[in-house]
Amino acid sequence: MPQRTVSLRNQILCAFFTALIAVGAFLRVPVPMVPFTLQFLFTTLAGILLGPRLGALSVICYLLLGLVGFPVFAAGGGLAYVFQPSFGYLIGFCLGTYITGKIAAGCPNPSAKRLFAAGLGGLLAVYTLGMVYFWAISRFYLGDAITVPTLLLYCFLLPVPGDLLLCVTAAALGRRLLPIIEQTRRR
Amino acid sequence: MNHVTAGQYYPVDSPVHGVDPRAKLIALFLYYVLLFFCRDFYTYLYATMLCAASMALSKVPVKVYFRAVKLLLLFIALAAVFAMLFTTGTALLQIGIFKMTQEGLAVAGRMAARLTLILFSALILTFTTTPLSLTAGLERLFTPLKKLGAPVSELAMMMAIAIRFIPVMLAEAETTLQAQQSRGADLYTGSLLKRGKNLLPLLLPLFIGAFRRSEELADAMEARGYRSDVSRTTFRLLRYGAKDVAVIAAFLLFLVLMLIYRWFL
Repeated sequence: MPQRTVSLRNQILCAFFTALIAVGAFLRVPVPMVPFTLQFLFTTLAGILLGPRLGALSVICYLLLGLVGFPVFAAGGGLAYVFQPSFGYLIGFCLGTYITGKIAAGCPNPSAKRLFAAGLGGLLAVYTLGMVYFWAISRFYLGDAITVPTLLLYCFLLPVPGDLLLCVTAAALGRRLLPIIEQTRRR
Repeated sequence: MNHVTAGQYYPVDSPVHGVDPRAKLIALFLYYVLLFFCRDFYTYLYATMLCAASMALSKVPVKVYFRAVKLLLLFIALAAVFAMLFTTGTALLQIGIFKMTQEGLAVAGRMAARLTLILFSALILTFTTTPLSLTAGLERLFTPLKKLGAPVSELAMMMAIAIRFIPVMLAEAETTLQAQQSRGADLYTGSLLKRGKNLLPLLLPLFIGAFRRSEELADAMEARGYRSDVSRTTFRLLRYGAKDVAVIAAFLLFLVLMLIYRWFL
């Protein structure tokens, strides 16, 4: 397989998005019931602004950082995080960002509607992977059978409204930032 | 937010600190495999002793370990309680609809023990190894993947940059937040939609700042002749010594002992 290299400028831009995603885990918006971070907003924007491949790369870099033990995940970090039921959402971010990027990059000057749809596509991937992983880890690793209604309530219904809102914010921010990033990259 | 800037590295001089990061990563992986085979009390005792011995060797005060896991131990305890309540079996004690069963107790105990050991063993690694040497170790361990086209050294470089700039971006986010709040921006009241909208003036400067910084860094690196398309040499060479081989061999032995116990005794 040929080595597909990433240019230095893109590498650095990805690295900055990695840092931004990490910052997103620490920016909490106070909402009743569930802890709600801006992380999904940042991964979606990575997909919109960097495109599918580079966006996913910056999320992978973020995951590696956390697994190596740098405390960038919402509840710390370290290899042990793989065994946390919620780790599936983090893997989901990776796929979700790729999907968001694919949809957003489908046409040259994406409208806000298209960006919102791209966010929704990513959201679907994040939650699907997140819930399957949550169920599998609870069932097979922790030996704790979780029922499907409980899973749906805690892993989908409670957190999803906030993330839907973040899709709207991501679309609005994407519209504003896309021209700026195009300009910087052309220079 | 300060705990992020500090990282988790605990600088003391100990035998564990001196081990090559690659050897530590491999040893930790072997330990996780070992944990996977734990079933009864004696196997868990064995795993706990291994973990405790490594913690003692790391010379990081036990207090520091417990300070780092305080919150997570609470999560583990909660998860264990849930597991206990939702496992069916012979009832030992019943209060209302809550039943405490023998099987539930066993499941909860095993789960809590395994998660706690995973947590502490991972902490040993991050307390005794700087993030940068861990990244270097990972890069070397995954070098074979380069043949498959995986951008291993690029990823290592990106991780190093991200580590350097996470505290910077956090500080910038905080400054922007305060600046916008002093102008009357309100993130804490109003409908969800309104709160979402109010995030824009906070996030736009953050992203534009990140673009600008990344351009500046790229210029600076290119001006110094950095190229990502050729293989680079490193200032600090990682070399396996007798100690590192011994660590890996020891953990292999621990794992084999566990397997012998599980299948033959």
